[in-house]
Amino acid sequence: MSTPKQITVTIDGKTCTGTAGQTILEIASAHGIVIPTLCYLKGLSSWGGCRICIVEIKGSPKVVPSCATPAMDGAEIITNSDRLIQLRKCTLELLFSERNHLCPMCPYNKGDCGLQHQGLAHGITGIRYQYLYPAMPIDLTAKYFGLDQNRCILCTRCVRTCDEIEGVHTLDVANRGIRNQIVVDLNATFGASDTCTSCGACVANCPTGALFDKAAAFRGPLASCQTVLTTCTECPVGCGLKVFTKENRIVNVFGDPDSPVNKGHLCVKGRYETWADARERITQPLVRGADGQLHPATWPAAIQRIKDTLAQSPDWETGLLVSPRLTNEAVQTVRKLADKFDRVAAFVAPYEAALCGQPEYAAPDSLQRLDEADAIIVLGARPSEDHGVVAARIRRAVRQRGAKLLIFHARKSGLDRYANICANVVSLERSFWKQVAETLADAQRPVLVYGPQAMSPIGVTVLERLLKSFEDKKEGTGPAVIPLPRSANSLGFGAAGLELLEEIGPWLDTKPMSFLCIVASDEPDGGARLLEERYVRPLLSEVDCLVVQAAYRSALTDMAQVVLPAVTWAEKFGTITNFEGRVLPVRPVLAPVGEMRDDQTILESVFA
Amino acid sequence: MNKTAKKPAKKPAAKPVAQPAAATAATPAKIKVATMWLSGCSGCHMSFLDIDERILELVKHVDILFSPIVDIKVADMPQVDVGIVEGCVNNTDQEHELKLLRERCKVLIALGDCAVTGNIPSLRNQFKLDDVLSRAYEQTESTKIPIIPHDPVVPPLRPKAQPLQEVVKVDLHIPGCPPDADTIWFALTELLAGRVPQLNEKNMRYD
Amino acid sequence: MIRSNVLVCGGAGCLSSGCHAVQDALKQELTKRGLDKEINIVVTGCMGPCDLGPVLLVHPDGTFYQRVTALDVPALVEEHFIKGRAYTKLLPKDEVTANLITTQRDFGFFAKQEKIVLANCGVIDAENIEEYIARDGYAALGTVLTAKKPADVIAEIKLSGLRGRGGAGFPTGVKWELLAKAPVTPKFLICNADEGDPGAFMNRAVLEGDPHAVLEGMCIGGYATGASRGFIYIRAEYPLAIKRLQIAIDQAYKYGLLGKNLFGTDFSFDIEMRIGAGAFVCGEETALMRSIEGRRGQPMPRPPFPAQRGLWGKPTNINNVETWATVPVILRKGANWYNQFGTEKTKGTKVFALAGKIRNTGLVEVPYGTTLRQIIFGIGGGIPGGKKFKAVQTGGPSGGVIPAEHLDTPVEYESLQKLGSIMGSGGMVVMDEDSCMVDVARFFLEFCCDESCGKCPPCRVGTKQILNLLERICAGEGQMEDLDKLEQLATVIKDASLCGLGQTAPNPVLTTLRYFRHEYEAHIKEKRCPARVCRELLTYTIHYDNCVGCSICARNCPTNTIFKVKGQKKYYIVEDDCIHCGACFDVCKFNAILKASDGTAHVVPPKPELEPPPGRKTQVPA
Repeated sequence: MSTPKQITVTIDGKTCTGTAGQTILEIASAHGIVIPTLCYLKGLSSWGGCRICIVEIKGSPKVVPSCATPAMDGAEIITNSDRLIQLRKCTLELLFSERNHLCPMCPYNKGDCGLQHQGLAHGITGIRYQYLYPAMPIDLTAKYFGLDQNRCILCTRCVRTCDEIEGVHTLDVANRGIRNQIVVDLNATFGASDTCTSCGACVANCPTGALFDKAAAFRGPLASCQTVLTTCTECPVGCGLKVFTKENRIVNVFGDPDSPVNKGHLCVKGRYETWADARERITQPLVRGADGQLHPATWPAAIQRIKDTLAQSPDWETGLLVSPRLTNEAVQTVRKLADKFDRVAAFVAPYEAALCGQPEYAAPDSLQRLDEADAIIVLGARPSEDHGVVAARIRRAVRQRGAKLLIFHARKSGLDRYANICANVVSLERSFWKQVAETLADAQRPVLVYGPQAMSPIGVTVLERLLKSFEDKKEGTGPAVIPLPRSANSLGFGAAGLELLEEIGPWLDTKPMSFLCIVASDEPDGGARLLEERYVRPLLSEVDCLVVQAAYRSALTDMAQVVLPAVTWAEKFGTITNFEGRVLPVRPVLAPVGEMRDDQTILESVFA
Repeated sequence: MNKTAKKPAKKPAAKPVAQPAAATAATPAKIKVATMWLSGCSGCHMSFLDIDERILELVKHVDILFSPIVDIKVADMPQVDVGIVEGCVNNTDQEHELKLLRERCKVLIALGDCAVTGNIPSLRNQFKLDDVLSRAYEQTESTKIPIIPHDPVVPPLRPKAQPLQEVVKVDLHIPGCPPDADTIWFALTELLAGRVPQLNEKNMRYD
Repeated sequence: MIRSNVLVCGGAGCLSSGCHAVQDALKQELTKRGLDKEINIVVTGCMGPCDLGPVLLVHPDGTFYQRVTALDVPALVEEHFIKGRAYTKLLPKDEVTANLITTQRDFGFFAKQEKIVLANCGVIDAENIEEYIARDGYAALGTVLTAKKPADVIAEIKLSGLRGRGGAGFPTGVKWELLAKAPVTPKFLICNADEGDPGAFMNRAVLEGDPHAVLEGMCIGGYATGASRGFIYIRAEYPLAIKRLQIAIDQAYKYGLLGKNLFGTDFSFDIEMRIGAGAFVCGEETALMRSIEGRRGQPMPRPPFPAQRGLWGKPTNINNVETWATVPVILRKGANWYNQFGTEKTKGTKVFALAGKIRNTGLVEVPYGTTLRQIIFGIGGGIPGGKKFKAVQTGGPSGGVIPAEHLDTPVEYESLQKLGSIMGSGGMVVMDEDSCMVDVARFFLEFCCDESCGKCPPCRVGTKQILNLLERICAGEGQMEDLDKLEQLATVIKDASLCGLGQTAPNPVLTTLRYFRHEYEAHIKEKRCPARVCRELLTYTIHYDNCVGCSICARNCPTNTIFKVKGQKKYYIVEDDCIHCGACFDVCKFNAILKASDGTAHVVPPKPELEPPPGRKTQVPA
């Protein structure tokens, strides 16, 4: 490709250089010239609809939107003439008159609103038009956010975000003219939508309080918050988080736009499940007393209790079972203390052990390969349920670049409807594989994403068959192979050499265990999912001394003799290794309120 | 609020509450001010009073002749230089009083979001008036005897609760709920200096 | 052997006045008389004088019959085909001399027109490609493909001076040249057949009456610009045009005049239709392209222009139906022949749809430079019913009104723009003294507000605000400041809107304010509608002298506000509950209801003692 042509324009008398194809707004921003905008957002396609970023070009009688107009070499551009200022003011006044933009009752009213900002910046004290006072609906049926049509300015940032970033196109505009309205699907509510993934990207990009996060509403203007950049530990993608806090509580969680992993985008887990769900937090050690109830205790008392128990029965079979959410540093501590126990293991997803043991396949450019792929094969994984950000990338590849998508050997998922071939149960018939070969015939940059289910016996068979079909292709390279585990720090565990358990029942059962310490860390369910496995509950109840180290109360912590309070991701300091093999920082955003300690400190103080 | 007055008096009352200072060469005549609250919460007046000790400086230049925080009888509304009105126009009495003040002042200031945008009282504009009255007086959970007030003394609600400028001409808007005391002070001192106050993101709020 | 062709006009106007029944009656009668082998019935496209339909044209004599009904047919056949003389009952009359007009050539309506685009309309059977070919159809395409280079074609179009007939008047040759220069393929052509202006039916006539002209024009355009595919975007509300166009496309493919390797050359061109879905805004070219792509019909900012990035991001050229239909004529008869018509700046002819308060409603095609007076009075026959001309609205909702003092303005793009209006696509709505100019502005703003796509606030909210102001003025609630507010809003909407819809929506308001400000002031100051149109400003009073007491008004009053005068056979309207619906005015057969708009000068007639009308139990108000 030849280098793009350099062009020169004059903006407000200042000479500015840029490249051919850049918009007037891009060149102006690069030279520190501020043009007011409302519907424009970097990273989304240009809309040119709000008419606020309008500029004048010498020689043309019409104003043009600078966000959507390519700059022409030699153009003389004015951004702030009296005419433009007057038109912007009147457009803003028309917007204020259109719906019920009442600042006093809006959570964005202290500086987080784009419309308010432009109104104040333009010195608008009152409008010259009559207020229309339309009756507008409010949709509060989504779990984590709401849509208040009274505050909407129809900038369509949400529509473009949902279409171009998350790729599901749940939102669009219905009706026409003054009756325009943002709708969900075919005029459904969020609660009834079967396409919305609750990724919250629309809310993050809405300039007004129309789309707002329920847990963040009225908790503090973003301008008054501290921000900390950390990494999400809900899944092995490891998205960058930008957390806003105020007075030691989280106000909101957005994606870190500078993270090379997710580039500002999040899924429902990172965006909301990390902080916006109400869970019962364990704030101090609990020890089961003679009355059979758990009572608060001090750290020394709880630790002493454990030590005493162990000292009394040196012949006891002891075990340590850890969550795959532990940071790399906590994993090192576990390794160090491993010989203090008879058995040490980590619990992972079914068939995931094999994946965790393949760190050599992890490549730091996995997501980039996905972004360039023209054919994507998903085997034994359900990105739309387990790795929302990866699913968004796949949907974008299919919808924007026409990439082919093939899904094999996975339970039904939200990604199925985008696939060219979707085989929840894979057939071994020749006609099926002929169809696969045809679909992949023109693929120049194929990518194979495989999850834990690919390591099952059938999965392995299908994997081998797939790789063979690539060898059979006449041209093109073999696929980029991307292992995609389910557990958060799987690769960190894989490197540590710990035993990885897909089922803990057999592990508990081989020899009766008398002492078991379960490090549930900040598992959102407090480790309760372990109890869903058959026989685990009765087996655990036969453990004489069960110690659970967790952040949240659950049925599992309720079974323990000693409960030790652990910090959550928001209070941890350390690193995790994402599926690409990147070591990503986990930084504390809150100071723990209570007696909580991080996992490695607890383990060392109890067992070292 | 005085509801018995139906016809506005043509001249100022014979007994005004506060006598304006007589003009001499040394002390120029004080600016006469009237304030009023219509369908508002009086918070904007409270915010005005938050200028605290600066009010002592203010009253050197200004005479508040008519105000709910001094004394107010609509029949005696005097001719003034500046009218400051909080709250929106919700019932017919308020419409009448606002129009009267507009006649009797040179500069009319809309103070606060209710006067500028309609704000909270204007939320009822999304519904039919009959439905609003029924909800308020018949359907509320604690109502024992449902009855919509219809005494002729109670002024009827207008079809819409409107900001001031949709009823009369307004010379200056000061938005805010309430506007900061500093903003009110700034606006008044600028006016006293003979300038149009420049309000923007540095000294104005909408919430 | 066929000795005579009877052309039955099958255009939209005649269809709705019953030409099918006439056609069937003709067939039946000719068969009955054994003449069906000698007399041929041809259903053609629109002949033009839509108000006079159903119309017949008999060839070779050229006799023109108007307002033909099925019942007239036996007598007509008897007179004309058996006895060999004109059936005078159905001949048109000259307005001035009242003489009967015996041939179409002598009929002023036709004689004063110059039919170039409409040359085949009303002459050929639109569903028969061979009739089009017989009138030199596709000859231009053949010559162009075999003997001319693409650059020659563009040069010819430029020389002809052809300007886009969709309303903007952009030089077509220059537009084609921009597309020809685009380096990206594939390239597309679009025919804008959305024709959204209310009162416009010029394109409809061409599509229904001579569809091949459009197809041939697009093929020639494709060759000249390097485009390989054409789309005709046609509004869904034209089912007959869609049907005829599809027949034409199928026939063209069948005859090898569309598709691969036309005329044995290596030039191939495909055309398909895309149907609209009921949005005026989709007549705007960028919104039109989004609609073809299956997206919401919303305009996009320009630049980039369609010739750079159009359909699916590829270079595209959009022209109006009339522009495309002119192209074959120009290539066949030559640019120098074509540019003898018209004026210095605007060459050729334009089809206008004359509608409203005019005697000869219908389609007229005249050279540019013809004056408004010549069109409205010369061809249109002036205002019927002895009423006075008030204004003519040109250019649809994007245009403006032009008052009587400018009737001698020659019609062309620049001259109409100077008057504050636009040429538009050719709609001309004539108004007389019974048209209220404020109501006209309100009507067009209501249309634009309803049709606005809603993308940009100046148009979406601005048109609603300006409509609210006009509705208040029409309801008698306006104030003088409202006129300044109207002008302020109009300026903002014009200047800040994204597309042509918003940029031209205020034109009806601005021109009516400019030329008929006194009507606005009457509505505001006197609460009076001088044309007696605005309902809230009307009063209905019973004129005792004419009232015979038949009670039909009382029986039709929806609010039961008409009562009988006690002891007399007269009736009285109690104005308090009158909603000014005009039902009484419509049903009274004795001219006893006075419809007036006196505004503040209105005096309520003294109320006599009243009783309920007979048979009614309505209570007399206090």
